[in-house]
Amino acid sequence: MSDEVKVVKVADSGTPAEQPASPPTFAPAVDVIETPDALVVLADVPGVTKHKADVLFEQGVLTIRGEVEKVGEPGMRLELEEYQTGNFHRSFTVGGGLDVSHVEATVKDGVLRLVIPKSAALKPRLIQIKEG
Amino acid sequence: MPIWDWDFEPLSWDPWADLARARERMESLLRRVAPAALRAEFPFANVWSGDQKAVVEAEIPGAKPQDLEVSVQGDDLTIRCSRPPEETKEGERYLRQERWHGEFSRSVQLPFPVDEERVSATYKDGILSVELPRAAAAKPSRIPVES
Repeated sequence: MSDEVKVVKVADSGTPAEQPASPPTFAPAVDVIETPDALVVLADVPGVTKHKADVLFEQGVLTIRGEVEKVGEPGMRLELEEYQTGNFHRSFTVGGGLDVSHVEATVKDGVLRLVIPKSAALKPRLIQIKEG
Repeated sequence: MPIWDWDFEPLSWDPWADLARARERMESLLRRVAPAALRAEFPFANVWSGDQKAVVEAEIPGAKPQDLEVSVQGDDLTIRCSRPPEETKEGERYLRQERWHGEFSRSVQLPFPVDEERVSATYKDGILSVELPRAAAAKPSRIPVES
């Protein structure tokens, strides 16, 4: 079952939230799929649950953030480190034609999925060809 | 002054701008990857050791349980995982693909022999975590110090 993520919309602009000093923060890898009705954004955020993820939209900028609960194994010795654990943060400018106020956000198995519907104007329409 | 602030990239596809920023993005994604990964295979793993057990973790977000396989032989742990890209139906297309996809298999050498029968693995929030208790013979034995 997917878990709904809290979507926070900020009407007034302010400076983006400051990043925590530690653990480090990384930009998640993202896939973007365009469908006839929407833009689907998939972000790899392993270790992030719905309670620790949020989506902000202010002044045309969409920001996804996630915090991980646990970093490493405390009390144990690190033998091999091929990747670093950290929080996630990435921002995108959103062009016209996307209805961000109706974005649906879910997190499942460390993947954040956003479905951003297209505004009516951007949806493909079948245009009837009449006899001239 | 940069023309494109890579943190504020457009969500819809702009191929020319993407080309210009591709290198910066690659580099920042690579920052996440520790130097050991340059010699490593996918999926990347971290290994911890303690007196009682070793723990191996790998980040495999969005995998289905049936696409994950963990096996131990001697002091080698093998992880097999499969993550196919999301299927696109008619009228759908990828504008951007940064996440890794495919089938991968790699082995990790463990710091000491483990008790294969008591190895356990969990997958939660995209992280595969394997607990490997030390083999009895390999446990550091306490030597009583007589006074």
